[in-house]
Amino acid sequence: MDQPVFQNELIEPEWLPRSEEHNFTPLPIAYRNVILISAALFLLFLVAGIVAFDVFLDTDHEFPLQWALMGWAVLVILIIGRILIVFPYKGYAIRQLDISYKKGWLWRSVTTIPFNRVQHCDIKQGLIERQFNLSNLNVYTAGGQNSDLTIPGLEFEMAEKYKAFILNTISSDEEE
Amino acid sequence: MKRSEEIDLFVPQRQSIAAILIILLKFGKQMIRQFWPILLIFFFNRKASKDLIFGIIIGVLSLVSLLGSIISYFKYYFYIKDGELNVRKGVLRKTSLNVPFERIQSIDFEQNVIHQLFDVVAVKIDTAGSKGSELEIHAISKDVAYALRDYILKEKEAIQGSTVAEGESIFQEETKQLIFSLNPIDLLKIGISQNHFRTAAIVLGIFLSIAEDLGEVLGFNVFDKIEEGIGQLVQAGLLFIFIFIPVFIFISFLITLVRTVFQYFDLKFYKTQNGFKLISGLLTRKEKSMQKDKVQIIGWSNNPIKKLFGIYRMRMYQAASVDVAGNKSMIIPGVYKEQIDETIATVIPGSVEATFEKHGIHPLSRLRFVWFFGFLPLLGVTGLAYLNGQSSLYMAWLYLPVCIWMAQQYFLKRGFQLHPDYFIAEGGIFGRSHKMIELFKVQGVQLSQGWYETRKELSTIHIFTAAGEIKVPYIPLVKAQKLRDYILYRVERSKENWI
Repeated sequence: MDQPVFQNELIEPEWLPRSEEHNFTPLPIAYRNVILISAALFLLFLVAGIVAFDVFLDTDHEFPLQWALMGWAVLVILIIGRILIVFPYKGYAIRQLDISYKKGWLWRSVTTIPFNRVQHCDIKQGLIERQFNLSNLNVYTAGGQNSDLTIPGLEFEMAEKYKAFILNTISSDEEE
Repeated sequence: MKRSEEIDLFVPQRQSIAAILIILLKFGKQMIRQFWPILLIFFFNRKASKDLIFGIIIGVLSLVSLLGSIISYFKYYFYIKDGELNVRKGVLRKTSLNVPFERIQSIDFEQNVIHQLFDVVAVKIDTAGSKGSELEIHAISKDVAYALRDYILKEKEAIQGSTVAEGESIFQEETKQLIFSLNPIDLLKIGISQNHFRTAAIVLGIFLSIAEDLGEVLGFNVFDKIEEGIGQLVQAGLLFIFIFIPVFIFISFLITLVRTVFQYFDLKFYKTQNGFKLISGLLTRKEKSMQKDKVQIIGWSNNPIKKLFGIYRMRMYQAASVDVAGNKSMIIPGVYKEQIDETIATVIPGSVEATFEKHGIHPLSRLRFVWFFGFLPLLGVTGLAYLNGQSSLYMAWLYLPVCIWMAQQYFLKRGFQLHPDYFIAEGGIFGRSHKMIELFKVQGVQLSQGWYETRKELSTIHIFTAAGEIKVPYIPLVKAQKLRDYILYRVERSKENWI
């Protein structure tokens, strides 16, 4: 096995490109609407279920409808509030050599994957997302599920462009 | 192309005749595992009229499995063709498998008692695909197995463009050098220093599940019976703690000891031409190989007893597909520091002599530790004690100083060591653990912060490799960012082949 010539030049921390200096691009606001719509659908189903339960239940037991509805209202505030607060914290950054995604308000995380470690990437689209021409860009590595990265809610053309860019970078990397 | 004169791997051939017996036993084992509650019912409710039916059922089943084993033996062929390992098998549903050499990750041998009796081996071939893509040849003669493996490995190397020195014969004797061989005293040391609490938990788990099944079959609640029996003991309270728990721990201790002997008897750890080989086991002898290029993480750890003996548990993690990571690592339960150094020097030349920069974690980690593992649980216990009026439960607060000591140990031992090319994550409370990686093999990096870490400007770094994740918590955010940026720089600059 031929060993590469051992190189070990001194690196000053100041020389390194800093990820934090790179501005993260926020996700398109339309994606927030997609999340809100799916949450609203879920909540509507829930309230319909509660009401149906009240209507069809045997009258032996009194169903505490007003309490159930109150609980539902609290859930609405929590879910919608969470979406509105958390959304601005999501963002992505694509640099020459790597891709990053950040998220979270109470529990924050920034994940970065170098392009020369990407195994493959694809684009996925949900039912509601399709109506808004949005899609999810998935980037996979050999590092297992935790290190796979998804940037949700990108405009479809944008996602296509990014995907092409990443795949192009991978293949030119392999040719060297 | 040269071939061995006696063994022709290119002609479809059957397994060794011993395979019939092995397939049969495997089948029998499966049947018993599936149907043992039914068998139990028959043994407990014996009636003459049922005995006959029972006998017939058993007879028919045995006959069917015997025939099945024989037919499946005759229908199983394997051979090499066009750089692929081919297997044809199946009685009712015929399957034909082609595994290209370059997708083969590892070829391991295994021998249980019957294999040893007939001097044959089982071959397990693991591919880079998803779970369930493993291939097993139940029994072939040792010569064929070795020829098969050597041929595949050599061809695989040629395909991947690695250098096979010219003039070297394809079937040269494998050069291997013994790094470590386990003598009976070391085996005993390992047995004593294994994690007995884990065994205790497993024993308890198995007991609970069997008891539940038994209860369903026999129609009475096993737990009630046991509770009745222990009832008097529990009333004595302290007696329970001083008799039942030590007995239980002693049983776990014995079980671990026996298990260790069975699993690691006559363990031999070799350095081969391009990797490692591990052979061990008393009744079932397992042989596992790993190529050194494929090693992603090297871990070594001890516990207080292991420290007393000066031994470590070493584990090498290979690039793994999906969640079968346990299968793709090589564990040596007890080695000395010199052997660990030798192994590391083989996988990562030059790293043993390298100087590392040591970094600890933030002192606030101690507070968090005591809060989560000491104060909050104790608060719960106190609430319980207050509500139930059991004042003896207040004794639990004696645990707090222990917890504070543990937190101090956690803070002192957790951290990382950095070198321009390597990274070691450290940890441990009662013992010490280390995980070492080469930075260019990193797949991705994540910084995460809980709300507490955000407030205190701390962060947890997650380093993803192809064999799992390594993380170090409570690092000052600025330092964590610098570390992340450096690792990314190191990976992105790298042209080395990481797998």
